[in-house]
Amino acid sequence: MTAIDLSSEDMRDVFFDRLYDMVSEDERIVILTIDHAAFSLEKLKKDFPKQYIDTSIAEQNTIGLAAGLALSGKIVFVYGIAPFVSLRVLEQITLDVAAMKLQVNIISVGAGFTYSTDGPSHQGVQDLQAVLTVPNISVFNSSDPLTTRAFAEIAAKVPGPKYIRIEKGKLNPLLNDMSHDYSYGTVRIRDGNELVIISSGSILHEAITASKFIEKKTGLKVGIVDLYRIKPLPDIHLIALLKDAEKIVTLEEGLLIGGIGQVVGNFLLENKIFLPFLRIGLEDSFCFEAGDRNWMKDRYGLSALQIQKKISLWLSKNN
Amino acid sequence: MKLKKKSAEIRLSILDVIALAGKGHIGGTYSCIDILVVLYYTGFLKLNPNDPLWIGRDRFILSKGHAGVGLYAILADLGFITVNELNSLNQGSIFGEHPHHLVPGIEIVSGSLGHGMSIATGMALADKIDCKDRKTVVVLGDGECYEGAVWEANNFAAHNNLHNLWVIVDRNGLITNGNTEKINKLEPFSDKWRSFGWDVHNVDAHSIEELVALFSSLEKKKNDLPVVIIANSIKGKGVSFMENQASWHHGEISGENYKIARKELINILDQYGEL
Repeated sequence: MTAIDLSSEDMRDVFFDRLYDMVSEDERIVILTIDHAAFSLEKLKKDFPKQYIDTSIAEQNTIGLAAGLALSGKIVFVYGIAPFVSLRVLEQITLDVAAMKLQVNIISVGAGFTYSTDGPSHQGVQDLQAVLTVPNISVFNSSDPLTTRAFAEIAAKVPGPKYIRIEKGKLNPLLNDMSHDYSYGTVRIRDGNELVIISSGSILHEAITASKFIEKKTGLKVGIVDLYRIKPLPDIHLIALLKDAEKIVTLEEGLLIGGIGQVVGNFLLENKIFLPFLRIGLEDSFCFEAGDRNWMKDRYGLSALQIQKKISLWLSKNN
Repeated sequence: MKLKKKSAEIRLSILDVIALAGKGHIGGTYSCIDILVVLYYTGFLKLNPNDPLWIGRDRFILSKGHAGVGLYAILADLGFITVNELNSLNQGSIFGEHPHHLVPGIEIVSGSLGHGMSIATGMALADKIDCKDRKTVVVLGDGECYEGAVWEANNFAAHNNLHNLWVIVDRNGLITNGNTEKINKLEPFSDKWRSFGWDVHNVDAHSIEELVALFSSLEKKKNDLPVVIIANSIKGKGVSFMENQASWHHGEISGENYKIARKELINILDQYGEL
């Protein structure tokens, strides 16, 4: 199957356009937005007014509402900015939604430095880490239009609570065809076994650029794995993808504590995969500066150039 | 008369269960028990003990989950759960201080205050969307109304004309550390709800007659506002040394205090004789 060209669309529109199709087929779907918009949501709001509710700026109430709706047979989507649909409502997610395994899909926009000029309040650098601690919830991090589109389908069709990060803006597709089954949770998007970078989200695109630098500089064959479902961790598929790996690096646009690197590190130890291992992400501190997303990534060591430098330094110490 | 006797029986049953467990949240349970008895024994809540998840049931949420032992006692009396299960409170069973959805007849996971209102609002909203004619009833503690989330939900429920949502506030005036008006005043409490757009009523939480009359009159109401009933209550109601004592929010029931409390409750029960 050839990929549909979604590279010119905003990721939010990719998600909500697919959701539009699902809503038109299933009147149980209800979308709650927390005073947050997206171009494609306007069409949904206009055509399905009974299935779209703007709950205003009241996040705690919104998650509780979502639970009440789901307990009444609805399939619920809650849409808002990452920290406000995670940290702000972690207890509601835990007790109202996850404890009862309700089909509430929290659609979180603003991973990492998406809202780069808005300060620590709007950074999505701790949301995924916090939500990973909640039992029963599945956690997804979209890396391209294909994962984004697949997540809309998974959210509407697969029971249970989900925290789904979608990106703002455009991203290139990571795969050339549509044959990958997104229920797997992970996929190899670049061949290479001497150094394997595990990542997800838009930061993964920085890894692609960095991998080319590293290959050129060191001659190492650098592979990249998209870990787009962090919980439940796709153990079996991950073991298969890392079978021949010689060194492993994780990369995330968020705090290292409790993040993807920590999850992968635990996984490697528990599976007796004892390989040189490096985590790249944000140190245990706040990011108070403001600039565009690329500037922020560079400032905090997450641009392709900085990633390449960190990996090169690490390689020089580990060879 | 039968309802009054039932209240007395349930109070006694709660005392015995907490004595078995050693300690429990008795004060705030006794303040809302007459309300629960009227809700469960008059047919006001349409429920089926043989099928707790019956699709047509009214939904009841005890948002002040710490009064859970009171609800367990009623659920056991009505056959939702067994007496043995009731007696297993806090002793290696799913019956803990704060009820959760694994217990037949319990709709949500309770314990953290301020959650029940939003969940109930979502249930009432779903019924409104689906044109289902049934009620969602929530019992809140007055201390719970310090939680901001309660008012987030209140605003939303009024804005959306959720006439099928009923809230009863157990206004016993005491939180763990003392009097609400001394610590962080809630008054003018009714006016606050009214200003949010609710249909506000006040009632004596221990007058079965008043509760029954109010509930039946409100069932015929014509407006589309959500209903709140401020039920003025006495923490620890029914046992003299517990009444209006903040310290009886949670306490140990054993030895002499158990004997005295039991005697007082049996005296109340005896007033109603064989009914």
